[in-house]
Amino acid sequence: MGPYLQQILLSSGAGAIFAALAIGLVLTYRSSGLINFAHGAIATYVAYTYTSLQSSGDLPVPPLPNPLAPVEGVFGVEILDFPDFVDLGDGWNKWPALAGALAVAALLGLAFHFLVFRALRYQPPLTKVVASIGLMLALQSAVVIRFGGSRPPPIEPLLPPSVRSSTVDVLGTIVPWDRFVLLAVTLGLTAGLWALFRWTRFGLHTRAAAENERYATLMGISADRQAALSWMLAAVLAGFVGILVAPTTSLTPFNFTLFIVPALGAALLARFTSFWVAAVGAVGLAMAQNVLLYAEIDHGWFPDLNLDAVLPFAVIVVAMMARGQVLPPRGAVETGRLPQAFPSPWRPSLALTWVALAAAVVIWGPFDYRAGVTNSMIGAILALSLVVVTGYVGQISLAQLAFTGVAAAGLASFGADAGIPFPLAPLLAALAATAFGLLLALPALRVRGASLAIATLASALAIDELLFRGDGWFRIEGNPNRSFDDPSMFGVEFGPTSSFPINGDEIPTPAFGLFVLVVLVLACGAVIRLRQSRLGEQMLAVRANERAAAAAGVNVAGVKLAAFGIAAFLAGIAGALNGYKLGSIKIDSFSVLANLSILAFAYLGGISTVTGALYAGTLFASGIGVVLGEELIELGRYETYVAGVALIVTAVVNPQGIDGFDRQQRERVKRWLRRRRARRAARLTAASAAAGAQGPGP
Amino acid sequence: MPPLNCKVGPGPGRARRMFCDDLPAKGEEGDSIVLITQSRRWLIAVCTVVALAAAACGGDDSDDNGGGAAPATTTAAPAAEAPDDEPAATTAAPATTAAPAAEPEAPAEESKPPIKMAVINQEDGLYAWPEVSENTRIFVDWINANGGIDGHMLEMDLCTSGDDPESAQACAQRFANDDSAEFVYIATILNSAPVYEALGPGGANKPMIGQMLWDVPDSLQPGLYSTDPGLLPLAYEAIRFAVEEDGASSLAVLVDDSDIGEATLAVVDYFLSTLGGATLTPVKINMGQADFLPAMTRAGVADSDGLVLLIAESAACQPTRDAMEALGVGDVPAYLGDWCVGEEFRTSGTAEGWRMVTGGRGALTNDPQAQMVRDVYEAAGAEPPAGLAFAATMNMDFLRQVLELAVERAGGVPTGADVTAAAEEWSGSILLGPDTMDCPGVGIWASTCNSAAIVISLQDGEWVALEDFQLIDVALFDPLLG
Amino acid sequence: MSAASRADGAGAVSAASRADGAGAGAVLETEGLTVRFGGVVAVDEVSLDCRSGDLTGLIGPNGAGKTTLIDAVTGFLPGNTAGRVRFRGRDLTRMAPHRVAWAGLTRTWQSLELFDDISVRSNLDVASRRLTPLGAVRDYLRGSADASSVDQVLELLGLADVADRQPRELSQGRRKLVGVGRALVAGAALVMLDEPAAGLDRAETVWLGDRLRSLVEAGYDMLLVDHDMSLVLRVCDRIHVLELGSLIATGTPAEIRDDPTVVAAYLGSHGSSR
Repeated sequence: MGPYLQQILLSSGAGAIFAALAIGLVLTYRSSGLINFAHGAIATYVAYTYTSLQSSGDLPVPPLPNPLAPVEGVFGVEILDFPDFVDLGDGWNKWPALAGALAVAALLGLAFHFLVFRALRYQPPLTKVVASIGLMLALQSAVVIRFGGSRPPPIEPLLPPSVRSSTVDVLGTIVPWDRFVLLAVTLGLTAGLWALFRWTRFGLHTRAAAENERYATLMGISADRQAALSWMLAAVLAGFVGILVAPTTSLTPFNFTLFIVPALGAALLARFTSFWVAAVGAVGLAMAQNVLLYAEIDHGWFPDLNLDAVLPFAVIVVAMMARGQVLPPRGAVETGRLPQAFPSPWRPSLALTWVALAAAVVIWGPFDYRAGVTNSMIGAILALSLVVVTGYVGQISLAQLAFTGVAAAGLASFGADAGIPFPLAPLLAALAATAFGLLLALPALRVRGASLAIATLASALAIDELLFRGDGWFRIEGNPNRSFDDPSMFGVEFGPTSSFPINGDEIPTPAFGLFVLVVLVLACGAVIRLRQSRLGEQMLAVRANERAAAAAGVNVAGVKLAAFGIAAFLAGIAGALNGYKLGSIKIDSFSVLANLSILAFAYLGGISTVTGALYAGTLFASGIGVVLGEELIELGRYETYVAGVALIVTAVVNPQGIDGFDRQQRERVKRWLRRRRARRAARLTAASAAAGAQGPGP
Repeated sequence: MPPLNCKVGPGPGRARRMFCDDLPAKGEEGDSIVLITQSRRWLIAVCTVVALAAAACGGDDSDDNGGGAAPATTTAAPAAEAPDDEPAATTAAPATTAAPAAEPEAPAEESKPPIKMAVINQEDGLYAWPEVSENTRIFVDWINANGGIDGHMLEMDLCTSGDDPESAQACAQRFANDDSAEFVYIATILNSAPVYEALGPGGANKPMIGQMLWDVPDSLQPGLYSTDPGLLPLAYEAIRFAVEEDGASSLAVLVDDSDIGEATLAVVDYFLSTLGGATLTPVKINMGQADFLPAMTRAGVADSDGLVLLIAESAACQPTRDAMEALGVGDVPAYLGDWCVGEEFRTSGTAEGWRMVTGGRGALTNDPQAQMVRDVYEAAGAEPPAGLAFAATMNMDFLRQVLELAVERAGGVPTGADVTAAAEEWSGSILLGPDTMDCPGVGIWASTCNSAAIVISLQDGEWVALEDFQLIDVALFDPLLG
Repeated sequence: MSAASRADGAGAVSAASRADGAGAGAVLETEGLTVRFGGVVAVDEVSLDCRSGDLTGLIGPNGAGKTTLIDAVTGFLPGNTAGRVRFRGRDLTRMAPHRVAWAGLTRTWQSLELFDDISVRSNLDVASRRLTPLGAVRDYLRGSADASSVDQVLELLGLADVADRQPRELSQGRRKLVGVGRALVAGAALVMLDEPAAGLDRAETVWLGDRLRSLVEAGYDMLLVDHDMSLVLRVCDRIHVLELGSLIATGTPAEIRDDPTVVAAYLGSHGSSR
């Protein structure tokens, strides 16, 4: 019992950190109705600001757009130069630096409210998720752009040295005081938030505005002001937590972002409602993790299954499922309007044009365009998986990348290890991914909306941990040698280095690109057909209204299972193709968070249509969009930053995504043309009528 | 029938729309009048993004496009010593390294063709080191300012990547396809496997100088030459020191919870068996772990004769040390690899207490060669690199020495084969390496260059070498390869 | 709506349902149906029936438990329901909603709950046939035409001209008809209409009532749930009255109109009777 107790007691530090982040997430959700994936990034940015102020008195300025840049570029002059840092003297003392950093945090919160989230008030949850993902990407990149990869200089921690070095003996375990202080501070913050929401006017007004804005406004409560204040509070809270715990966890650009995942789990357990449950849940999560880790060591025979990462989330997801309901209760807020899933008639001539164009680029284009187009095509297949599960059925899935990982691993096992030949091996691999997809559909049967999004994220984490780490079933070695044989059929190889009559001396050779093109055409065709089919119709019905669909005879559970299964299969195909392309795969700690980017870019392209998936593909990792962009502007270290800002801008200005915007504009043009024709016809009719009236009689 | 009624409501996107029923079917097919409002916002938003991106372009002296258009040039600082009239090739003209290799050695006044230096650096993403691009550029400028490589100026062609493996692959493929790139300098990279795939012996077979990170153990790569011995040999040195010098019979070992960590554990296990079988308690630490304290307890540090930190991430150094102090086991000897040898670690005071550090690079405070590096940067008005960035600079100087050998060998601009041969023949000192350090290592451990692990310790606030440079005999590792 | 179209479409369907049903017997029967939410009893031991060929009415003031009763019967409250529900001889108690629909018992919603992003035709098509996994695969590979009943119902309800529009483009009245059409299209044996007159003015309510009457005469059995007394009294053949979860009266419109308990319930509560 002793060592287990020790693990429990020593978990107070980690527990406090997770809890502090979790209550911030609950705060943002309760006041703005959105899950703030950027919470950890705000903590990181503010903590770095504090470090900078304390060590050198420099205030970092986030990269700001220079509106005069085109002018400057044309004339070769520099008119406006935003500084990277503002020199505010020499290194500040601890407390002024804290005040300064928290002031920056408040300003950030205010800015986020006014520039971004105020406009998103009435948008569906998915749009808000995309905006917060964009914010996360932008803030993290801002940190790396300003401070680089080297570790920040050490600074004086908030807690005085006397606290940091003293320990206390609890039941035979020596625990450093500062861990308990952290825990106490976190619980104090929790109590503060709880009291704030329960007893103060601010809390009351915020709750009112969140629940029913119209009535709140009629009562004189400015929902806007409440939200602004809440954002400032949340940002300051995040910043304070970051500064407080940075010495314990060590400050890097990615730490707090990684901690967001367990914080989300705890917030999910609290249903994003109760501060206390979130805090206690987070502490419990940390304790469970460490106890399990110790148990693995204690019982050495136990395989290293990374249960510490898996089990707590499994518990949370199961708990959600047990409390969830098969159909949303009456009056529950539905997902809100997702972008329109336009009908997809077959357009063979259009398709043929694009296929010809893509094939031409792949065969005759320069190799970087070829690589870009190939990456885009694989990305488009992955985006198609999101079109099916999120666009058509409205289930937010943040686990698609995990399915690609399963398939890639499966390909390595079936293909390279077991020697199963080409078309069978990747298909089996995709089926393996499908099995996991069906498993993931189970939470989807009882949990919905934002909670489902988190549940899928947690499941993605579990899949990664179980399969790829420790003694997982599909351990992928960082092997310099190719893990995947080139795909080939009837003696013809079509891998990235396989020979090809034209441009065969530059890698990647056109062989692979053409292969991927064929697969993409098949995938698009399959999804278009799905949209036209009755199953597709039922999917849209489930997306529009689950209850009504059930009452109309739609087997909602069956439809969801089908959706997740199909989506996982598509993601699996993309994963297998990726494996062939890269020659190896790797799963690391922040693969889980890459799932967020995938969803965000799929949304940007247009999440409800096949065309949208094609747009999304161009924007993914080193797709043709990126390649073309680099031809115009060298973004280098600003790539992710610009991507994040672009996501925010899209969410705010054009929630329909690129495809939706495109259709909208085409409709405008069509309508304008029609009206012109009608006007012309009317004029002609009027003219001929006038002429006829004056014409000679019969 | 109910009367005709119309009303205004939400439409697609931000448009508002008027809906009526039973409008006459004649004429227009559309039955609604679309009032598009707020479309100007879209325009402003697009302009913002473009301006942002354009500002990014104007913000740094970007040498180059990642897209393979015009290869870039370095701004060659006017050479005070160089007698030749080297045109400062700052235009976007394609770099001509096509000078025939057998070009007769021209008299000193004639300009020699430049040497193209392909560079890959990760500038974007969570594991980015954007400052290394600048550091590399400064060092290249310094080389060129001091006569280049035997009169040949270095022309840097930089390709940057992000966290995703595709971008690393794109850079690698670009240089693999570029006939004028005979060798590639790897500054920092996260996804090394696709890079190795494209440029290594299985791909374009171009020599790589520098260091891979994370997913490909450095020490295992033929075709990659580095003065960084890599995690495994450093681990060996730390273990050896602990067992042989300090007489440890049980060690707690902290590794990263990843494939590299797994490989490291296997190697450490093997080492201990060859060194007389001290016992090992492994503890894997996940990067997402918020607090090292419980992990330290699980490592049973109190019952061990020593703790070895083998997580190649400098963010782990201070928390480990703090955790040991907090648990009251600060007296247990602790050994680490060189990732904690940065200046900030030294000046922060948290470096106190480590028994020793193994390093393959110039960390010694008072060393003249390390000072030379710092002088280079101070002269350029830049911060001297720290930590991993300093390590990258080591490899730059290694590259310089190798290129000099290669140029000598080729009698002009070297080919890839020349560079490879030079790297394998190279023997010398690299900013605090031993004089007898030489390449290659043995067999698959070729890239370790039989390089040194120095035993360093912090004494009186200065890094000092505990003893002579210790050469790693990589032949020791051969049985591991099975 | 011509008599011919009525006879064409609905006739065939209704004949089938009539043949299955027990002549003029009960199509739907509840026995001691009780719905509890925690400590609150929303429906208390309600035993009522709907007879074949009738337009049955279920009225009561707001909060009487009418919608809850429909929810319970159609399987939306499995954890809260006790008692029995029998439909055309089958026990439907706590059956999943989609199975209830397959058995021939459909409903409309007070708040319409249409599928906003798809066309009117698709709204109906979704409900028109059961889709089994095998059927889904077959349809995916070979395609299938709209069920003929979709066109018939569209004609029947006068929605044929807007079949390809989206519901949000229609007027409120026509949207309600889409909801009704969705409930009719699978050849339902009994359609439960939940407050169909909500939001309609006097004239529109009368018009709707007439349409419902004609649908019943075309062979669709219906249960009309509303709190608008005048509508229900006007069009229904038989009426049940609910108050605070209990059934307080059953009878013909004439009987209900004069029933003192009903009058007291309506006057006593603040329910409106337009």
